[in-house]
Amino acid sequence: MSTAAIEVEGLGRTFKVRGGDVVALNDVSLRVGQGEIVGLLGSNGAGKTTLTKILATLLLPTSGTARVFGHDVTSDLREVRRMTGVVLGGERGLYAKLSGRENLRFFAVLAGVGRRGLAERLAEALDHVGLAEVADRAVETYSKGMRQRLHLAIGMINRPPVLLLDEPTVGLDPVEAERLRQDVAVLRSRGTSVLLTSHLLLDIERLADRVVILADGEVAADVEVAEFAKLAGYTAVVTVRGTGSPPALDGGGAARFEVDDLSGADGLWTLRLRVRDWSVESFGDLGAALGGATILGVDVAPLRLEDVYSHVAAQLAANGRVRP
Amino acid sequence: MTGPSAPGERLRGAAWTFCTAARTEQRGMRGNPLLLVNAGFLPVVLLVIAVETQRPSPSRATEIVTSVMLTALWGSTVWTSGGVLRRERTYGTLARCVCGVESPTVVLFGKSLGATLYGVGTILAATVVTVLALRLPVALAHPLWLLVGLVVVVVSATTLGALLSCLFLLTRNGLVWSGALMYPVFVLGGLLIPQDFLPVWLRWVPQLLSLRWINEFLSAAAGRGPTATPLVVAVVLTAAYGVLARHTYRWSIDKARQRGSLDHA
Repeated sequence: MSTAAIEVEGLGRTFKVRGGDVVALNDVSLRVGQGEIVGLLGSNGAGKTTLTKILATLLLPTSGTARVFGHDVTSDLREVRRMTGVVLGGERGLYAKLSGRENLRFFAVLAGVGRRGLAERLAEALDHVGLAEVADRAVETYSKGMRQRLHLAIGMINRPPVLLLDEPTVGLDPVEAERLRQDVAVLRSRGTSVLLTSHLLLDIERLADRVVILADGEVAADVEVAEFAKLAGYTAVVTVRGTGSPPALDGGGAARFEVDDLSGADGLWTLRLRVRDWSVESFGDLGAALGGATILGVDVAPLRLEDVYSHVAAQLAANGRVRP
Repeated sequence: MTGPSAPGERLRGAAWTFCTAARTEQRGMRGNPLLLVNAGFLPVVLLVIAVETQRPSPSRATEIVTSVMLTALWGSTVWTSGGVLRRERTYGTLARCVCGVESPTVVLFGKSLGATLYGVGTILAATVVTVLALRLPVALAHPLWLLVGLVVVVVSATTLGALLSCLFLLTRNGLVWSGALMYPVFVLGGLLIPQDFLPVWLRWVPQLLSLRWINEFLSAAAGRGPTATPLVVAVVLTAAYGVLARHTYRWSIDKARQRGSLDHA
């Protein structure tokens, strides 16, 4: 087996606060392969940022190990830092009085970029994130999105083989966010491994190969994106509107769809069904269930990852586990 | 990916980081109001007050000018290089400065040097203009030794600033401590008020301040001739500040990584 880009084993982190200890991570294990993009999901306080900070060597774990290309994040700091780019984002973390170029130049040198070719690399990075025109303006004049783009340029300036992205599209408009996703996709094609934390499930859907869900500091699920989508137990919601007598649903087709809601008023009715999987059989069962009804319209809404995550979060809140 | 760097390459990397940190800090200092007050206005005001009552002799004028410049340098050091890490924490850039490829100490000392150079340059400019305006008869008997003294001043203020910066990092009230440290050293530092005027039990205080020894050296170098002892003591104190700063910084970074407080404002 080749060396994993990121390998975390039994990782734990406890914070001491007044009145006791707070467990931020407990026995977390995960692996990110070379060129793989793993999405890290979880509600606020689940431990996502703590894990990212440990991998970025900003924070020491209290137990377990974390390695970047085999280098321990607590002892091989120089190598880990050389191989890791970090984008924590936010409006802070920049020198407001300095220009974007001056900021990028300083952080590039801190990340180990040498003198040779530095100017060209800065120009290329600024152009890549769309800041070339404003590169010599003070950062204090930048918008939130421009600052976020500068953070991205800083995180990627040393072309690290591992990239830690914490909410990278926050503050970006849809066009910029899409450009960022394309950038990350290009990085994957170059073999860069990415641990991506995002509340925007579109980022996960578009980019991630795998999803790790953290809940209360523990790994609640570690699945491929396709498997993650199946955790909701359905693949689409079909909404049928009709008139006259509503269809008589006698339980036929229950293996292929589930009635979510059936309501009606003034001779009009609306039926919402969750389809478990699309197949010839499911079309047949739907046709049979709706046979004889007068249908005014049908809407099909494909499952979104937001729906899956809501489902998963509800399961976690109820019993602390994720069940397919 | 490449393997671990060779020692020569690492040294070049550290030097490059050091210079870049100094340059970045210098640029960040542009228009800093604290720098303008302490390095720009303070020497002017002190010089005008010091020579207003009577016209000094050339040797006395040199002593006054040196003392005023070093006093202003103390004020500038407390607020500029002494505030490097406090400012990094405020800007949210401390974590990146600490987690770079090179040692965080290299970045700290580079930034401290950048701030010190800017401060020294401003003090020199303000002092020269004031001396010319007041037509003070300043003696420069041994310019080469004055140059040596100036280099020691810069190095010493850099390490002193780095040490203060680390000490201010240990507290959340660095700004308050910066203000609190200014005037006790003005009074007790042996720069403006001669050491002999202090109570006997407080005379040890100026002995710990390298700037006081540099003052003695520069005053002698400008007049009767330099003596080695104050220069050696200043260099030893400078080295001690540097070692103490390095240990304090590493210790506070380790603590911050344990507590998770590196990126706290």
